[in-house]
Formats: sequence, C-alpha cells, structure tokens
Amino acid sequence: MRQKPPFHKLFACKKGVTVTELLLTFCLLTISLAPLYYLYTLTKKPPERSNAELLAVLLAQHVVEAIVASKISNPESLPPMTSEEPLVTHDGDVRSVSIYFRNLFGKFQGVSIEDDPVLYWAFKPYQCKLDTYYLEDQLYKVIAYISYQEENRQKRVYLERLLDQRIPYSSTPGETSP
Amino acid sequence: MNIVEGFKLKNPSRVGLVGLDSVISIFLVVTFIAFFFFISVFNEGESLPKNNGIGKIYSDLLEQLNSDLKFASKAEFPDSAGSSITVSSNNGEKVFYFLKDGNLTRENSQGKSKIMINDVKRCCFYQNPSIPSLISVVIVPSNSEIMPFFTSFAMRNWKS
Repeated sequence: MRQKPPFHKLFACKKGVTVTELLLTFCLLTISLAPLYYLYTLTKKPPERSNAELLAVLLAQHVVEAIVASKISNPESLPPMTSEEPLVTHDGDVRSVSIYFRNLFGKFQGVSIEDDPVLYWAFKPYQCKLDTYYLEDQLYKVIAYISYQEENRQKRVYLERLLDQRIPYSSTPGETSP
Repeated sequence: MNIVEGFKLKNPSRVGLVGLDSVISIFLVVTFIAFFFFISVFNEGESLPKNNGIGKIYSDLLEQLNSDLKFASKAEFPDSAGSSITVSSNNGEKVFYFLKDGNLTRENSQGKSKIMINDVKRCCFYQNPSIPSLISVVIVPSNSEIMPFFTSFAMRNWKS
C-alpha cells in the first residue's frame, strides 16, 4: 500500500517565488478589490450638497413652480423653450434676463445690484434654460436647467414636470380654433 | 570588428534590451499604480465643498413650506414689508409664518409654534402681481457666508 507524504511536505517548494509571480499575485488581488470597492461606494450615503448646488435646486424649483402657477392662472398657457439666459443683468452681456426672473419683486429687468445686492450676487453665477416637449396623451413636458460653475467645472441641475396640454374646444365639431 | 558584431549579445537566443520577465513586471507595477491613482481621483471628485450644515435646515424648511403653500388656497400678508404670511387652505387650516428676533417661526391654527430657522437678517414673502398664485420666499441669514434662501411655490388650490 502506497503511503501518503507527510503534511508539511505537501507544500514544500523546491523553487523560490520569482518577483514576476509575486507582482502577478498582487495585481490579481488589486483587480479583485475593484468590484468590492464599487460595492462599498454604492452602500455609502450620497455626498452632501454644496451651497451652489443647493441654491441651484431652489432656483430650478422656482422656475417649475412659476410655470405651474401660470398654468393655474391660465390653463391654456404653455411655457416657451428658452436658451441659456442669465438670472440677473451682467455688464457687457447682451442676453436678456430669463423670463422667470424678470418680474421679481416688481422689477421688470430682474434683481439689480442696487435693489438687492445679496440676491444679485447669489444669482449672478447661474443661468437658466428651459426645454419643452410635446408628448402623447395631451401631455407637455418641461425641463428647467440651472447651470453654474463650481471648482472650475460646469455643472447643472434640472427639474422636470409634466403639464396638461389642453386643446381649446371649438364651437363646431371638426373645427379647431386658431 | 564590424557594427553588427558590436551589438551582439552574450546569449544569442535572447533579443532586445530587457527580458520578458521585466516587461511583465513593469506592466504589473503600472497596473497597480493606475488602480490606486483611479481610486484617489474617484474619491477626490466626491469631496465637494460642504454647505456649513445649512443644507439640512434649508431642506427641512423647503419641505415644510412645500406642504403649507402648495395646497393653500389663499395667502395674506399682514405686514406691509412682507416679513410675515398667513396661508389658508380649503379645510380651514391656517398657518402663520413670521419673523421675530431673527427667528423665522411657523405657527399653526392650534397656536403651536416652531422656529424654522434662526439668525435671519431679512425675510420676505412676495406675491407676484402678474402670477398671483405664485408666492416667492427670500430668506437672508445674518451670516453673510451663508447663501440666501430663494424659491417659489404655486398655490394649487388658488382661486381668483
């Protein structure tokens, strides 16, 4: 009967481990850590919002609520699509102030530095853009984007809302009002 | 001795400046460094400037104003400066927001009051004349390093 070798001889290595083998082991270990690290990042709570992002969210809410309020006052109104516009007037900027920030506090041209310097400087880094889409089932989608710069990076937050796209009733069947 | 002989290696079976083992070693070291570099860059992207703890206060205030103003049917401004507002809903519930001693306080129909935010320099509730169902809120903290609070709410049950 064949005898088993003693346990301490099972792993006896005649040849030493080379540097390449050692590095290969390290590399495989490192790569196997990547999915574990990814899982760790998923379980972490989301990072706290910065001041700039927090104000951008509040401004986006203002735009969406202004659209909803216009819809309450006039159910047939639909907001137009706009390009990126500033929230306050800038020196040397020919673009007009966003329509959602024009009639604030009774100032047609938006908040000026003379009226409210705190709000003026708070609003200055931001720009507002509105995208609109016609959808099926008489729905209209609006997306309010507020963009700003933070740590030399262009960032933006957005809020979207579905609105009723009410078609005005015509007096005669088959006839649509202009 | 010609030029070719001058570059002849001792072991004629091996060609090149470094061996295969060295190339693999270098590759593995580079992979190792690249992985940790990626992790450091990934972590750096997450470390955004924090909001001095005001984020939680503003989020709570936003949530409270949302629930009070969105379903309101009427808003009254007892103070001409707009530093207070009384919001009424269809079920007769009334909520009063006012600024006193730098504290923005919310008081409900039962007289129960709660300080929503303190150290306020200025507070203004504003009803837009062109869109009367829209109420804008501005809160400027005493600490100038903290950003102001500005947003608006549409009263869903508003009747002209």
